[in-house]
Amino acid sequence: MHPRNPPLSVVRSAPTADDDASLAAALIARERDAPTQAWTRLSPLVLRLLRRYFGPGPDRQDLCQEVFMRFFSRIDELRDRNALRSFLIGICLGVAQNELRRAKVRRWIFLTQSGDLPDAPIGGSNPEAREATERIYKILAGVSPEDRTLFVTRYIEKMELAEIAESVGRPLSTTKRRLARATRRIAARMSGDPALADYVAGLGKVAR
Amino acid sequence: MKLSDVDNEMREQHLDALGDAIAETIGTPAASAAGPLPEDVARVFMQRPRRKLRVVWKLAPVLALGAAAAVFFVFRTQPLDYQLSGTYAARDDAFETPGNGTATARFSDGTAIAVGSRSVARVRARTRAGATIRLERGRASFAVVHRPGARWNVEVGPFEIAVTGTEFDVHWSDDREGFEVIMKSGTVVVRGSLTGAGIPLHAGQRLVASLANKTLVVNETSQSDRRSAAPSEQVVAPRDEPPPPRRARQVAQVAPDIQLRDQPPAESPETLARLRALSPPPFEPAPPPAPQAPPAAPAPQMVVGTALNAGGASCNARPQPQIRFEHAGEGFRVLAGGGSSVFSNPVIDHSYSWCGGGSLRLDSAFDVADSASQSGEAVIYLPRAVDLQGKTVTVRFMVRAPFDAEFSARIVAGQGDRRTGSSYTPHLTAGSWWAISQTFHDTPAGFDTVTSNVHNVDRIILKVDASGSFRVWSGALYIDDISWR
Repeated sequence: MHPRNPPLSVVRSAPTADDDASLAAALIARERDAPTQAWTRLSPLVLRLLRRYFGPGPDRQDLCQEVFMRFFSRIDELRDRNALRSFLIGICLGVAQNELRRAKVRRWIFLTQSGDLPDAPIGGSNPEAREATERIYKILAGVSPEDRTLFVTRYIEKMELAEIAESVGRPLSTTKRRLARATRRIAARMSGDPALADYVAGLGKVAR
Repeated sequence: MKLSDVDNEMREQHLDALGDAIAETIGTPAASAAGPLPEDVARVFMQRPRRKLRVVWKLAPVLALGAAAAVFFVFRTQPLDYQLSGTYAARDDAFETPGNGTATARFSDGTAIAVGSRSVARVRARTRAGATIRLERGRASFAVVHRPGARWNVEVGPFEIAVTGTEFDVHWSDDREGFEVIMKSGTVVVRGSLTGAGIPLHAGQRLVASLANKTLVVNETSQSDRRSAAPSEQVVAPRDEPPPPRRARQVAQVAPDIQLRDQPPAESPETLARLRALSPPPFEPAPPPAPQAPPAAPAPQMVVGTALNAGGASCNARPQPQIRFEHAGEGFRVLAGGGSSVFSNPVIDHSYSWCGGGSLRLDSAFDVADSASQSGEAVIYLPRAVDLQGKTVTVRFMVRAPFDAEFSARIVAGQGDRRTGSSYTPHLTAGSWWAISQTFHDTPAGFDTVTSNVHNVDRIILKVDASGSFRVWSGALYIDDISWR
């Protein structure tokens, strides 16, 4: 795996805005089959985002359910029905960040002296990619939940900046500034890791 | 395009590539990975949110806390309440008792104030911590309940009594400007006229002050009870005695700092009767002690050529003495015994002085044969404690007595219950101004003290011992100009 390799294409199965708007309307109207529709259509998105947020490991079904419980209970807060997806992603990122904080507390209280969790097996055929994945999530474990959220949504989930801003509930300019800062911090850590240095080698100053 | 933009774009590309690799490595969950919608999740959807209610419930703890705080604040800041009982006539916050009745004010904290007959008291202010009571006339007994942070004040004429928790009686006669505090328990601090920075009183003590006479006396009530025949020692701010009208002053006098009344105002028969009704009479100066025995034969009196300003040109020396005894307002107080003591009745005398227009005069009665009457102490409490380490104290004094009276004297510095002093200066005689000095150090020599603390001296004592062959005599001790350098 080398950064000069052509970037992999990302296929996003994004429903149309009309679909999201009609689903939002059904949810707000408390239509009987609306929650099942929402669950069927959006749970893969939530599971994927959770997996990318937490890294390799089993699917976080428990967190997915918690996301939808919050999503259903707060559906009346949705102002723009076309932004149903961003609304759900925002809830999902909030749940993920809370879980991350709780996991840190659990780790301080219960787990190993080093604070490291046991490595989960990583799939994939490319050993370089597996190592890079393992290393990047170790780095993400050392940054703030917000930096992790911005990095994951931008570079792994490939969300647009406007979408990220809406999901995290911040102005676009603030989101840009914080994403740049998060990127610098993570890139600085990557430059010290042999498995990831190539991704930031040859670039200008990455950390300030 | 800037170089930094190129860098950023390249970094974006590289990180995008890394993100793609990660996404590919960790994969995407299958569409059916979540399974069917769990029932408990669906149940949440069916519960219609009660948003307004939720907001209220979210704020409920805050509101409850605020309400509790408000109740607590109101309760805590609620001033003490009180109820009157007895025979009284109330107007506003004041209540007055008739000649044959008393009244009691009971406060909500348990404090009780019993007001005697022909008295007027006023509750000037009330707080949750206490109250300010003004006794405008008559007498009152205070039983203040001790509580943390309690603050009670009793205003009596120009005096103020700060109380925390104690029992005491207060008498006040405005027409005679007399003031008396009798302590039963606890402590108070009396401030106001004649008290300097304040006088603390403890259980068993009595303070008597007279504005008319400029006197303030603190004594032990228990001791005075035991010595009914012989008054106890008293701390006195000596009254200022008017100068003799017929004596022409030979030098210009320094005007006193405060206006002193030359004579007490004439009392009406009613006033005198009312004062006599007060028991014990606290305001009248004690009568001068009767001489224990008259001299065997009339002795020739000494002749003093210059009564005032005997020091002459030496009085112009600077700096001036710290205590000049020009008037009673200089802040010193005098401990003078009663009839059983050698020295009594301290007054500011304007007939004789070493410098200036006044001196401290004490009546004296010596009996060489009687050990109790052989030695006398004139104790002058300083306005504030001073450090006499390495300093020389000088006291000028004169004894007016029969010419053949002989005595010795020494200076002692007092610090609480400890004393430091010098040996006697012997063979002093009456009719002359004497100056004796003593330099103080922490370790005195030639004196029977075990320890000393001359860093914190609160009183200067002139100790006079009668000697010689003339056994029984009486006269006056004049002290002027105490200085320390």
